[in-house]
Amino acid sequence: MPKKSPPTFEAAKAELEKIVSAMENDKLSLEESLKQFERGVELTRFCQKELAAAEQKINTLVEKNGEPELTPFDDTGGQ
Amino acid sequence: MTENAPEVYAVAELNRRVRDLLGDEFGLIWVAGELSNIARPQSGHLYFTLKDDKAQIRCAFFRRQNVGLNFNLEEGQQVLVLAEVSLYEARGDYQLIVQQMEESGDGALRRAFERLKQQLSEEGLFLAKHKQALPELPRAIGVISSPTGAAIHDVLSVLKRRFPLVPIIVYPAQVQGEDAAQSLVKAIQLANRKPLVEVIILCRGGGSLEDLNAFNDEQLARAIFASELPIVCGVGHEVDVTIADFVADVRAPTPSVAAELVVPKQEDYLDYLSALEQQLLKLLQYRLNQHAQTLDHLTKRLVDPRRKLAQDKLQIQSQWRHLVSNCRLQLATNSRALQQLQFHLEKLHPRQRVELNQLQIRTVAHRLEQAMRQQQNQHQSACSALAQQLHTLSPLSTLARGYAIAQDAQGRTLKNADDVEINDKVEVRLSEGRLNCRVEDKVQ
Repeated sequence: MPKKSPPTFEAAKAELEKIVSAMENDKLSLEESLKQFERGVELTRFCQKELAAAEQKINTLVEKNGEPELTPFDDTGGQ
Repeated sequence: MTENAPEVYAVAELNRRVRDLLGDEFGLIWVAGELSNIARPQSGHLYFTLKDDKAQIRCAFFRRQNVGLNFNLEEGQQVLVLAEVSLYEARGDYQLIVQQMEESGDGALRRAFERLKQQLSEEGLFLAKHKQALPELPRAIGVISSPTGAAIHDVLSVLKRRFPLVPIIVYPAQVQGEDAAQSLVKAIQLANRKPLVEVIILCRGGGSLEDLNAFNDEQLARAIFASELPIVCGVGHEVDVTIADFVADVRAPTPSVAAELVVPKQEDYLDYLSALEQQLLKLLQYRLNQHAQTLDHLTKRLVDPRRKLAQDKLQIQSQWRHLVSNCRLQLATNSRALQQLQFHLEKLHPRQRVELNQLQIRTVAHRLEQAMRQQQNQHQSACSALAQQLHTLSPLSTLARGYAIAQDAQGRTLKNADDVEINDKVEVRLSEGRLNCRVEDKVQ
């Protein structure tokens, strides 16, 4: 694998889109396009996995002593 | 009147005193209540009763004051009146003389709403050019609402169902009550101060007009307008429209719809990813095919030199053969032409002509000879004929019969006596011999 997986879905998706448009532009060498293809497939898998496995993370931001502070959201309020 | 005697009022006086007392005591006051028993006599004055669930009071709203009234009075309507407390002396009824009337409750809120809407609209806060676009897929979503309300629950469940990958930060705020607007403003400012999110959902569940009133607050409107983060507003139900809705970047009819607007559907995204993958595959395949084609093409052009040599040799041989056969053909053609020329030339040799001429000459000579002979014969026979003829015509025969011919000295035959003179010599020819005679006389 050429690079290690990017840390976020967003970055992976952006890179994937970049790869596709680079391959569309037809300016890559064969070797490079093979490399890009592998990378693209890897990114696709990563994105799909991220989406499938995603658990919504919910935090609450409140100001304490003038400083914003993140705490896990307590979803017991709604019905 | 004695000092001890009790003070006795006339009714009219008492009523006037009470009226003054009431007027002095209260002055102009605001009174809230519900309209009932509305009377509109020809005079243009308005009379009605103002009441609440425990008590009521008569009111008069005279024409001079009520001409500026810009709404119709209805039974049961909540109003706010600015009035003097007074007394109708004739009847002793205590009453309010209304100077000014406003709708209260929903009516007042609605008017305040319209006023603010008008003002903010004139300031340009609602203009489309100020609306920010929502990010296609936000890195994180902020939700400003009551952490215990139904709205936030709806929003969270929609987000979880549609796109659970995006983290959410809840900015708790009061959505109802006196401090609600201020609390919402602070939440918006907090979200903008430390932008952990890329879009804000401002939401609240349904409620009465008064319940939603915090979202019609001018300060909140300005805070929404000032927000660097795009704001989607989803307040109440579909029919509820607030000032916040107008000034927000996107208005959603309900909190759930607001949630749907900020994230795509996960399935759509999976489809999109699959499409990207397919496209990658297609592009790679295309690339490979292209290279393969190029390779084929090059291979075709890349020829083994030995084969090339053999090919060249073959070509040369073929050309040589061609050349030789061509030469032969030329040669044959030329020699045939030569033969023909020789033949012609042969025919044109002078010997032939000489021979021909000789033959012709011989023929002519022969013909000449023949012609000559024929001529001679002809002449001979002509001569004979002539001789015969001559013989026939000859005077000799005449002479032979005894006739003579006289001729002068010149040989001229004499036919007339005048042709000669006396004494002229005349020769007379007889059939046999001649006589030389002299003319002795002439007889005419």
